[in-house]
Amino acid sequence: MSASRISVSLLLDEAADVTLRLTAPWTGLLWLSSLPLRFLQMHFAARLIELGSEAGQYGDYLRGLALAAVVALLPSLWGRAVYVRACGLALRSERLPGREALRVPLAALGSYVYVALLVEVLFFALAPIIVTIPLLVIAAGVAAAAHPEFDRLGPLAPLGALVRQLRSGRVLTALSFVFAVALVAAVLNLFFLFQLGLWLAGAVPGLDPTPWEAILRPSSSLVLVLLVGGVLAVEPFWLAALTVYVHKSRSRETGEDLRLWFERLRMQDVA
Amino acid sequence: MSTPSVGAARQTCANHPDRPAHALCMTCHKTVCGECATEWDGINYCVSCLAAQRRSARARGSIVGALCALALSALLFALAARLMVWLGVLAATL
Repeated sequence: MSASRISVSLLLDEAADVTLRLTAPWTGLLWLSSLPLRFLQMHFAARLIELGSEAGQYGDYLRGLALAAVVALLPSLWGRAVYVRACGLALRSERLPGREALRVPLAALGSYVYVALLVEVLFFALAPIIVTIPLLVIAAGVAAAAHPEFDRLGPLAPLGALVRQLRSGRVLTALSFVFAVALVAAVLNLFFLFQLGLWLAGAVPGLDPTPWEAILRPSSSLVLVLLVGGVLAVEPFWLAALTVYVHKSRSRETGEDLRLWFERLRMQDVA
Repeated sequence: MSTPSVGAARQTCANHPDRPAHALCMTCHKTVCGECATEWDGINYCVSCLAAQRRSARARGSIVGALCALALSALLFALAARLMVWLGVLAATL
């Protein structure tokens, strides 16, 4: 049975269910571990916008910021690995995963860091081609979701496992489209939420919203803040959807879905 | 090397006492029957010694692989920061 027969709507339903079950503490851990990276990326982009065409003259300063962002990528990758492990445990049992979610196998984590850095490098090197951007964003997400399959640490084995998971292009394209729309919706919702907050603050006697109005007026900095907020809101659902996808395609290959189906039938017969 | 010797043929298999010995395991020097002996790279091994050989070969492979992945990760780490700046400057200039 091929992975392309997996229903996208079913994936999204299961991902929403898993994400809502994992809200505390695992989504919180994912956010905490990725906040430094997101803020450093935002700071880097804001400085670039500020420097404009003179950015080339501040190479050392920008290199320092970029290095800090790449260092911050490491805890973020650990947070993603733990979240994906928690999703996988939640998919296998009805109860909320405990501390066992923190015990990410070292080989899988090491392989994941290697693959994620490779995807990151390819992303920066090929970004001017534009078309590669969504492809590498998908690859980065699938690498996180498929990292439990990276049981052998080596230069080629994890890449083979990643390529095997990327075969179902139709499902991944559909998922990416849904999450791209979700990201835009999240950004717009955050913008309107900020504006609503400002409007409500204006109605409170004795509270001067003028400084906030200056910060929250449409600008490149606000766009960056909204983008970071949107990514943080969507990322748990995106990772959960990809984990469900990897889980389903693997269980179809190994016949685990049939075993579970027979088990359910037997339970029904006993009942 | 482990070709069946005249001496081994008179002995019995270490795992199956009712069967005549066919070969000598070159690691533990036990005599084994045809079913228990496996020839690998021209040398006969018993099942447990062959499993140990495979385990150590796999461990060697995984250590080499891990070192390669570690070295590549360090290289990618340094490259990622440089490429991030290159892309940023390129985008800012445009």
